Amino acid sequence: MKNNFLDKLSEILINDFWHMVGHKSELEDNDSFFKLILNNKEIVVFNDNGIITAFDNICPHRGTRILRATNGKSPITCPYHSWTYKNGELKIPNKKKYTDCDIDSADINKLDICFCGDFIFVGLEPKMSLDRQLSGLSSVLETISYDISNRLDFDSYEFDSIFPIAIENALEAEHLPSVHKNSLARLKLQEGEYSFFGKNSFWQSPIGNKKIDRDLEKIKENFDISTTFSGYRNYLIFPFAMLSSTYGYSYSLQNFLPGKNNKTYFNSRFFSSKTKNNAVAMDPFFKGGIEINKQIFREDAEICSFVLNESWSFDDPKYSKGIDARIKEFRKNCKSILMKV
Amino acid sequence: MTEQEILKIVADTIEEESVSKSFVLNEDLWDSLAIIVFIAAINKEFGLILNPEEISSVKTVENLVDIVQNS
Repeated sequence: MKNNFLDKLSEILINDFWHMVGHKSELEDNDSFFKLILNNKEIVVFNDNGIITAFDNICPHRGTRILRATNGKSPITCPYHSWTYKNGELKIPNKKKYTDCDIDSADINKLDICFCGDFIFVGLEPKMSLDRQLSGLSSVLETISYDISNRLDFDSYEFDSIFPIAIENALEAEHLPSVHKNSLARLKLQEGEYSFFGKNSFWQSPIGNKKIDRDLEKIKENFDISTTFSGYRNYLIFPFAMLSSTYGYSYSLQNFLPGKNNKTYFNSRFFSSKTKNNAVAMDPFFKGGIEINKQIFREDAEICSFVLNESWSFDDPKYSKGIDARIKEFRKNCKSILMKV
Repeated sequence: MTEQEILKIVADTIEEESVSKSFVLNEDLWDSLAIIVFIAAINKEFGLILNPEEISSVKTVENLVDIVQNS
């Protein structure tokens, strides 16, 4: 794959689409925020006194990075000259002294923001409505979003591979026994079924490990959720987000964002689903889920680093099975998007 | 609750026909899912709310029986 094609594809995907980046429960408190890297720029999504706002992490004054942590709680105050964004306004110290410029036009560079239920999407210049982009998945995602209680873990690092390789790795399960022998493969996921919603795709699989499956069934009554199912589910929210869950008891949201120098900016969140008031404490269950997810994604990052970037193309994989239809569809979508330019 | 009742719940949780008090709960058997299944079963059967950390740290079935009977 020639880099200029991939750069162009990345640019279009980043600019033209909505990106599922988080959940409102992550930003419940005033001044709570998380960051991601989109278009090689740090993007901050934060709670501005109840209004969720997204902006690039650059102070319009001298170009300083405003927030340094990946997530947390902090006023949006530039550490250099204390320009502060609060309640929808940029507060500039000694503002009256800026007489030689149009200081009233100074503002942080905001991104478009949209919601599907409690899921947060950001866009640079999205070319369609979020509902149209989700192509029938809106109601499913909306219901899931209301099942989520809160974020228990946030992780971010780089994959040493181009983003299509990282995404396609998440779209197929054939690697589970070799790459995730002591983690995800323990579920013994079966071939399952896939389906498509526009450019988005979905896969659900029964759990072949009957002991784990029975155990998961046994704790079902502790959860207060609308989306109940048996087994494992995984959604590609085109272009860069994956949402996965076992039984709907917790959800993992991952972003595979195009990065510089053939890298992928990866971040993952682990959300617990709502439990009933009289439910037993689920702490060990969620803690176990967080640990196993961390292991799975590190294993994915490692194996993806061994896949040659040059091996990726828009064409169908030379050797593929029926279940690889999601990979084929992903490539077909990438190709058609690029061909339109 | 009797010791036998607790042993039965442990055996059901780890899917053994029966267990004795000296049975060792290794990490493969006593993982986070098994712990929650056991806590939920005890809660359902006896209405007890067990401390997950305490249940996570046990090494033998005897430890479990002691914790449940003293709760």
